[in-house]
Amino acid sequence: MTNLTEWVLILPLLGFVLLGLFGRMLPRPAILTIAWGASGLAFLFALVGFLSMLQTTPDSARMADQVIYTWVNSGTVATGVLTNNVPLNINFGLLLDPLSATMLMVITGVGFLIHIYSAGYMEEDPGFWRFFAYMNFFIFAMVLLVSADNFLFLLLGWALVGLASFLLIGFWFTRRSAVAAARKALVINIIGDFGLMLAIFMIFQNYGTLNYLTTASGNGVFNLVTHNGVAVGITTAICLLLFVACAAKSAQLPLYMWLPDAMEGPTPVSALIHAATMVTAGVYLVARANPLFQVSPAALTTVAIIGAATALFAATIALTQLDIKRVLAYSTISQLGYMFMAEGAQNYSGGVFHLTTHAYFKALLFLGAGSVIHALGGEQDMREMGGLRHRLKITYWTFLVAALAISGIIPFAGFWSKDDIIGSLLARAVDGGGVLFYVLWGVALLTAGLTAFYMFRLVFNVFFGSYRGSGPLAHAHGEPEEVGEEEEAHHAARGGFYAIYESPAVMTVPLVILAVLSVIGGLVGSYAIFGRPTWHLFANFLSPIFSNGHWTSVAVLEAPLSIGVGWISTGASLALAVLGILVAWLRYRRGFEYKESRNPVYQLVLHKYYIDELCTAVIINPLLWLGRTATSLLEGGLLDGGSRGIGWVTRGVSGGLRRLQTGYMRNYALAILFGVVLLVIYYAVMRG
Amino acid sequence: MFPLLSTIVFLPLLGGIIVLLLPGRVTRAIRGVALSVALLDLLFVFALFLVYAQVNLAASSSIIGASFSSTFLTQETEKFTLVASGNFTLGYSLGVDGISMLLVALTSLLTVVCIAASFRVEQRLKNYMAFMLLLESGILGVFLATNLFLFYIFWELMLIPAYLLVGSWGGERRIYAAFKFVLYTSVGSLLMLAAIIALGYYHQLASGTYSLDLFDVLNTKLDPATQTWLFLAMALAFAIKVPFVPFHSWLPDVYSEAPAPVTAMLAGAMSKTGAYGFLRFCLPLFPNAFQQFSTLLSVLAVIGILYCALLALTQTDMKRLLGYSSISHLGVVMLGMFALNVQGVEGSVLQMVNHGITTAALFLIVGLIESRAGTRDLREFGGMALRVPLLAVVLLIAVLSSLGLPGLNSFTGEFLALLGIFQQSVVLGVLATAVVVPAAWYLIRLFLSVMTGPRLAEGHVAILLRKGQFKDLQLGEFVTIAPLLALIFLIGFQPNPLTAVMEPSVVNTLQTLQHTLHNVGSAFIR
Repeated sequence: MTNLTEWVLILPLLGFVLLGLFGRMLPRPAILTIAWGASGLAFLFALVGFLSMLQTTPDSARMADQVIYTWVNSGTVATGVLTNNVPLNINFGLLLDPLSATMLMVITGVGFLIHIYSAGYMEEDPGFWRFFAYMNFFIFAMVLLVSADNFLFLLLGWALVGLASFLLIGFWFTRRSAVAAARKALVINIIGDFGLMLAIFMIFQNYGTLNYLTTASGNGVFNLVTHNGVAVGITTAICLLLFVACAAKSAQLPLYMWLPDAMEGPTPVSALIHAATMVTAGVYLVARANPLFQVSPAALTTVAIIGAATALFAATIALTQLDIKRVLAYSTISQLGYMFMAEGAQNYSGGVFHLTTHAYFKALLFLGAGSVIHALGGEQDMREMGGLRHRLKITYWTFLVAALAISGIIPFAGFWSKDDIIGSLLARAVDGGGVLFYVLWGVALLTAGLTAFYMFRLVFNVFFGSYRGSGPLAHAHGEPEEVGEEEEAHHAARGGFYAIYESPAVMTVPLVILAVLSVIGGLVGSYAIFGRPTWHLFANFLSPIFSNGHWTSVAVLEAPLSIGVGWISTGASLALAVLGILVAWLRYRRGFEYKESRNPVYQLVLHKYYIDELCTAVIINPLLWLGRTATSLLEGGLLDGGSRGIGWVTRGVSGGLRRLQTGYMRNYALAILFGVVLLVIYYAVMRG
Repeated sequence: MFPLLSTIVFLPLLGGIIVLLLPGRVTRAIRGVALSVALLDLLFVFALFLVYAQVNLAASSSIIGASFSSTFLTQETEKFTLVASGNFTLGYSLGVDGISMLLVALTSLLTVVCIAASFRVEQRLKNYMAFMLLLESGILGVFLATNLFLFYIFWELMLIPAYLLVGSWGGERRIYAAFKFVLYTSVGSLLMLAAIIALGYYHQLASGTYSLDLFDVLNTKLDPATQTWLFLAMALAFAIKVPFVPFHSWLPDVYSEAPAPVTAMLAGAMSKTGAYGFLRFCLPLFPNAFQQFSTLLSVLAVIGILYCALLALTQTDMKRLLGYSSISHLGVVMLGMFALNVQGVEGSVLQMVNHGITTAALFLIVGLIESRAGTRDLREFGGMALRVPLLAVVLLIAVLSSLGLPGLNSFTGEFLALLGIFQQSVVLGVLATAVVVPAAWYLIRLFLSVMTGPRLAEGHVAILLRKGQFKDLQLGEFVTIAPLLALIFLIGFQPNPLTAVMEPSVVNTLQTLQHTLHNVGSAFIR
């Protein structure tokens, strides 16, 4: 098996370093050469690894674990000397196996397309070089996250993608809203890192290693996990802590708040980081740590419930949003909920499958939205759109494909993966999962209907009806620093509907490629409803991760799904999706007339259930109040007062002696004097 | 043999005297001499590092588990008696082991950086440079003394220049700050002196000779009650120096009033003497008491970590914010030590080095901003990254390092220290780890409020910006902090070389503890 993972990792890092150091001085073609070259070659190398893995048999040979260097050894020489010593050995290693190969393909593939697209989207931005430097850095961090062979370097990648996300959300750093969003994203992501760190501590404490898999260099956690090994309570705690990290990174309840705000970043960033790749890291982690989750039914149930709750919750908010990117953001949160539902039902490959198809169509949706925003000069409000299908033909058709895919219409990519998930929920319910899984199945179906509705609400509002805006804004995205008064005047002169032009080819070609993937990307899925349960290329490719002894000692048993039950599930989800589209068509086909409803339920949903306001009032403000009070009361009053008190006492005691000293440093000298006097007295006494 | 350790300790002192003898007008010469002396000292430290690595790492398998002193590099030429009368001796002895090696390297590096960063000082430059060098001598002496008497002398010696630097070159409230500083530290020092004298006395009771040599005193087994009060007396001095909450009240005042390079020196190097004192003296000398109090002190450390993080959230003075942040981070250093396992103690020592690097970098960068703007109030800044992009980048690197971003230096030490304490106590481990959230919050707030947001429209800083008087990072300034930035990346990339150097010493220190605890009740004096 050809393993080029190190190059997939190093090239984007090199791109980042070059752009970071010299980008400011380079002309745009040179910047693009470096940025595209780094991400394109990374994709090429990932592809070579992937293809050679496909030709490798048997399954157990599809694994390469390279140790690159020793990060730290601590306590390794103390064995036998100290009684309570547990040696810690952490190496930097890269693991290439079916799961990481799949992730690498998605990250570098979609990443490369978005790099190309960005050249058009960011063309007029003065921070052009900085943007591509950050983007390359993100690819590097994400590759590190998915190809690390131990939990510590997972944490490293985990934190670095968070940093990349922070930098890119706050890319237009002179905007207050962007800065606030970046800070929020960073802090919430650090809550996730905190969970991951604790999980790592517990894993080390209970398994004595942080490596995933047993290799020549030592034992691996996943091979040590057994049903009657470490107490179930502890495993559950580990899994829940891991899931805290997943919830923060993948925007699940209750740590989702940062993702909608993250739309402050440039749209290609939303497409790459906040839709296709980084936010799926949680899905990857649960799949990667499947042996741990397999041992703890409670943790799996939690994952499924949180996933379902998030999917439904976010879908309801998406129904009422007016900002095109925010609808997509809530849609992302909702789709991530699906992936976790699948994993909670032990259908890990279904979760990862939806991850890949979602990467195609959600990246496409965001890039399409970006194309619309670009054409309108930065306008994101749907009330200012409409009828754009006549002006933005390529954008319209590709966006429509993506909308059909996410709605789960056969034979688009989303159908296969979503059907896989919904079917497995029902299978788990029939197989003894009980009421819970029937409920989850119902939630998944309902969400599928809602998804189709809000997506087509978006499609009809943006592309159908008549144009409601007043033409493109000039240079509205870009650093406000550059917007002088002349440009302000320029804004006023809007060209109307016919000043709207389709985006350049550098932007539409990635759209078309992603549209093709959104059509055919699901065909590697399950043909169980056609009576061919073993035809599931994707699941078969990933299956070693979940059942082969090299990867796990607690194999996953998929719940069987009979054709009849499968048809019920598929039929219901298709029917609901069509219903959703139909309702949207009836309501919005003639265009969008926005009237804010006074209905309290509508208001509640429109204001996103007031969660942000609640958090500020319950957590943030009290903490800040506490900090201020402690500063003034304890620090200013008590402690400072106390030390003044000590000062008075000392002065009183030393009153006599102090007169011996004159000058500046009397108190200090006093201390020394005291010391010397004590020494001398003691010396004298001892001699006598 | 060449007395390498003594040279390292006294060269800066000598350099300081030379600087004082120069006429005050020749500022270039003063700067040149001061920097050369610091650089020369760094060179000697580098040589020492090579010697130490050659002698000790080569023989590491035979050293580990042998005895406490076996990882020390000492020379007969650097061990002699100062006062001898009958069976009473006061000696001079220096020695270096894996732990002090790293701290000595840190101190000599920080001195070079801080002296270079002080080139802009105009007022009484001669005295300033002399005191900086004197401060270096004091701190290096503290790290290298293996005799308690000598240790005490150096401990006091480093206080004089620190006091004068804060009191003469500080900000508006410098006198108050310096006074408070001296008051706090001398209370601790007095008690420590009493404990040191008593220690020699107990040693004499056991062995017949009065000696304060660390390796002699170590052989005296003290009974737990005696250990307790001696421990408390010494621990107080160290706790004030670290500082431990609630003995920290001097720190925000001193750190915010002192000139930036001095703060960098105090926070980066001098604050480590307290933590070092715990590890070098309290742990092996009073193992039972150390064990007994480790839980209580861990709890205090955790309270300090969280409390100071909370305070840092709301500070508007950049240096005060960093001061509280510094206390909070040093809490992790102490916590790792009290874990009393290899990962915890190694994390603790590693974090002393990392904290020194990162805190010094932060204070120096904030000093650059303060010296340009004439203010350090966060509310007066905003949107600076457009004008000073390089300054923004270096500030971001230092901030990310300080908040413990994996891949940078501080993470390595914090990870090991927290891993260590987690193995001892899950509750303390969880509480201490939780500090990463507020730490990220207040540190990123520092960065964001200065560097991002809309361009400033009004205020003093806005005027400076408009006139072009607020310059970006200059080449000289970058070169000054470049070593710190390089280490931030290097140690983050691979901390293993540092843990490898200290590991034998850490294991042997912990083994002393284990050995002594196993023999409880067998050979106590009283």
